Amino acid sequence: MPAEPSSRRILVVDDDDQIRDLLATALSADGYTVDGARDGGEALALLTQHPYDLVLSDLRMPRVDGPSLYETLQTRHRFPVRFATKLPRVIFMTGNPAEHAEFLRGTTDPILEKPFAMRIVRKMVRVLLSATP
Amino acid sequence: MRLATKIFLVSALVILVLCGTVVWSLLTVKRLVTANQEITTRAVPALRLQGALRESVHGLVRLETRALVLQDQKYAAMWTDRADRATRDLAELGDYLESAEERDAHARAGDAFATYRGHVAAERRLVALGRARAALLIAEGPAREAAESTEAALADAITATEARLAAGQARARALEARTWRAVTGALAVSLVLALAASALLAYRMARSLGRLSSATRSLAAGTWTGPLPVEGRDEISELGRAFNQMAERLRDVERLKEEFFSHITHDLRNPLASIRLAAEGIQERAKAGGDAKAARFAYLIEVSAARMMTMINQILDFTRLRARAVPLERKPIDLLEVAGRALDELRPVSEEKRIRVDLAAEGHDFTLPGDEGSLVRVVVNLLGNALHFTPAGGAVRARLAALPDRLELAIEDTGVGIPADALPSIFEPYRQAHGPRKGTGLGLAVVKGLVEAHGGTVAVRSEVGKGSCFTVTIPKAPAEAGAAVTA
Repeated sequence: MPAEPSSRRILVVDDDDQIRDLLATALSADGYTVDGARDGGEALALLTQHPYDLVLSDLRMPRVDGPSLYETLQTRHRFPVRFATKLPRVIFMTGNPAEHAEFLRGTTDPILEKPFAMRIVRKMVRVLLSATP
Repeated sequence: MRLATKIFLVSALVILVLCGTVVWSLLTVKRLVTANQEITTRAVPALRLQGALRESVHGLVRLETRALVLQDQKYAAMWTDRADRATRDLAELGDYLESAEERDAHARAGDAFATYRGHVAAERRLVALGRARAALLIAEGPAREAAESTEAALADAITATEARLAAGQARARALEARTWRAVTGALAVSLVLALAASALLAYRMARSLGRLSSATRSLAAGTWTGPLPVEGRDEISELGRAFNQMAERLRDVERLKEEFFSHITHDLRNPLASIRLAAEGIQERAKAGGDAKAARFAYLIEVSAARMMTMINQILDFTRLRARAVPLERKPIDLLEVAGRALDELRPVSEEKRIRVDLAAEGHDFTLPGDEGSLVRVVVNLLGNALHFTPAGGAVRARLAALPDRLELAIEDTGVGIPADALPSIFEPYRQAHGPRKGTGLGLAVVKGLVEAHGGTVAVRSEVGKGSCFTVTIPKAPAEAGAAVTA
């Protein structure tokens, strides 16, 4: 029996303010607790403060980009000395999959190609979170 | 070393070797001439003198007899005169002799002749005393003997000189033969040396230029990877270095182009994503609040954003193809699977227009080395066109055939067809057979560019009112075609 949306915490990471805002608005309307981060650095800071169930992350961002954020999360999970957090599920967002083809081949996490429809995001979030304890 | 220096050195080597051969030949010829000269200036005069002396000794004996018998002073004077000349000739003969045998025979002849003269002088004295009989006895005895000894010694000298002459001639012949052998040998060696040096130079030049031209070809085809190995300091090596610099520069330009398209794509897609998400949100709220008009407006925003996205994608695809900035990531692709995916992608359209879409496959093994994304776009563009121009209730058939060396995908519709006069330019960019309809007019140009980048072709046949059939043919073997666009 999956947990109620209200108890689930989602982190939206995108340097595009509108997309971040829209996703946060739509997902909070669905009952999730949603935080936003402008890049991987902000996301990593937030990830030390709260455990998140899901991270929706853009790939191309200034400073710490999506792939770097992902690598750091994986490393933290492998060496859980200081960061005893659970590994959140990740959905990648990109406007140009070809640019990150090599990185995407190395992961099994789902990808949303921009521009995506909100119903697809909802469906993906629901499916992923229902599979997460 | 500079190329000019190399060519100069090879030519100089050739000229030097030839000059050396000529000088050496001249020296050998000089030796030959000397050998022949020795024969003509020493042996021949010696033989001539020896023959003349033999004759003259013979004549002297006859003159002596005549002078004795006739008691004529005239003959006596003549004998003395001839004997003096023979003595001079004997002395002169000494200058022309060389071998020990000759000198020995000459010495014997000189002694015998002196003895002969001594006997004749004794005869003269006896005649002057009136003892002619005693003189005649000397003449027929010891004098005749001395004369014969002289003749015999001269004959020995002639034999010795002839032997010397024969030896000299044999030496000259041997020298001549050796000269011929050496000159032809030296010429052959120098010729081989010169040819080998020129061939080596030509081979090295041709090899370097060949490498350069194949590198240029692969650079043009977009398959060039590493720098050209360059060694040496000649002009071809400099050309190689310049080529490497140019290739490096082109790589930079390629990278910049890639970055530019990546930026543009990112920057255009982000606001469209926001528009689409926002429009979707408004629609949901409007529907929930029962505001059908607002929901309709929001739907129009969403659909327009989607159309704009398609157009942007096509313009970007086409521009990238034109700029040759499409990186084809070739791997084994199942074209049947690609066609199936494209069909699934367009299913909402076909269902909405109630168009029956079939996919038939002939043969087995539909894999080819290709770029998955590009091939999906090719099939989606062609199928999308077929659905777009086929009226509701029509049919679209996709047929994939696996031939031994290529795959053939034919997409046939029962649509409006393309007018014959528009067919030739159907694959040109910004050309639309049916006037200004929705779309960029780039779809088929992109299809053609992507198919050609895979080394394939795309053909069309169509009849107005009956439908069109587009046939894409892509070779199964990896083609050497670059991501070139002829559109």
